[in-house]
Amino acid sequence: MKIPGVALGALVVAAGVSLYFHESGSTPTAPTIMQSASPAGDARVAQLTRQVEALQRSLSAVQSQLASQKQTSAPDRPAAAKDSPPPELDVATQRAQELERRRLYMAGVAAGFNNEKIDPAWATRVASRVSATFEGNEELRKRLRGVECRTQTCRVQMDEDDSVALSRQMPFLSLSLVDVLPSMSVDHIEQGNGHSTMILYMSSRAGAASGAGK
Amino acid sequence: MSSRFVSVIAIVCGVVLCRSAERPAFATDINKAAPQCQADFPEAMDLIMHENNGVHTAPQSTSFQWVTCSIPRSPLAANATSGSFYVDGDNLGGASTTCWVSSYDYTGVLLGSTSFTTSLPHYDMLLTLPVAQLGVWAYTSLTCALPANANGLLRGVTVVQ
Repeated sequence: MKIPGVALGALVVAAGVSLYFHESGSTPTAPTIMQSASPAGDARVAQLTRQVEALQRSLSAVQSQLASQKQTSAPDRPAAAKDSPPPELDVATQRAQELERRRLYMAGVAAGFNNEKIDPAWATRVASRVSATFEGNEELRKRLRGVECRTQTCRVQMDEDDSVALSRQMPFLSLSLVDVLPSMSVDHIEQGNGHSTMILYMSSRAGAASGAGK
Repeated sequence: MSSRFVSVIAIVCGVVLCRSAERPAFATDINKAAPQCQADFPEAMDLIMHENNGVHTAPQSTSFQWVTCSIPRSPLAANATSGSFYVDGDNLGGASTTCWVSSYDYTGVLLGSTSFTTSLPHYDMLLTLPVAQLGVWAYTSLTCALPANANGLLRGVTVVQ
């Protein structure tokens, strides 16, 4: 946005200068001719001449600036294009793109879990914590379908439906496991009968840091 | 002469335009103070105190209480890989506070969450979610378990845009 703004300004300056000279006559010597005609006009013409000279200097400076910006930005053009906002898409297309991005992300999370080695000590200890948390909550217990832990991630599978009963329990789940599994990514797999399976990939990797440097 | 005046004005406007184009654009963070946070459960409504500088449990509250705060946000930049949230508050007398940020799709599907627990007297915690969980239409909220007996003040949350 910066370069087009400068370019627009330079264009307006150029148009103004051009218009000025067009109105003053086709040659810059016109003020000299007027000078001999009237002393009052002489002073005014001299003032305008100074103004035009000053503006011409400004125009030259702007043109130099524009040229240097073009030179500086040329190597960064691919990066700038990457940063620029995507072209306008309709809502349905944008939502489809987001869904696909999320699907790819969750596929990566699942692959990462499948490739994770098993640390027996950590896996046993944390799986016990997860199971105990579910056992202690009726709503969570009846939905639990499986817990599997590896080195830093646990995969928890639960039945879900359209009711809000499960989402009401999520704070309890997070509170109980925040010290061992502070972050989670959630996938949902439709079962085709109005029910779906919620898969929680709960990770021990810290999702938080002290923001002392804010 | 008036057309000369117009041309001079045009030149001046052009110079001003050039200079204003130099002004850089900044993304905008959003600060949300915690007094807007609400009790999660009806039985706790009288046990949550809203102050001008935050929210805490009532002195007579004998256990922790849940509050949830909406987090207003804008779509992330096209090249962003994650979104961040600062959560600020205080703990008194060695109490601890647990909070997490959740993100839900516009259809109500839970996408993910990230949490912290701390007993720092003054905390300023940074939470991060990946961009895949912070879509353009995703809704984010902050839920905290505030310590009993007014032993903790949740001050607010800042979305880093």
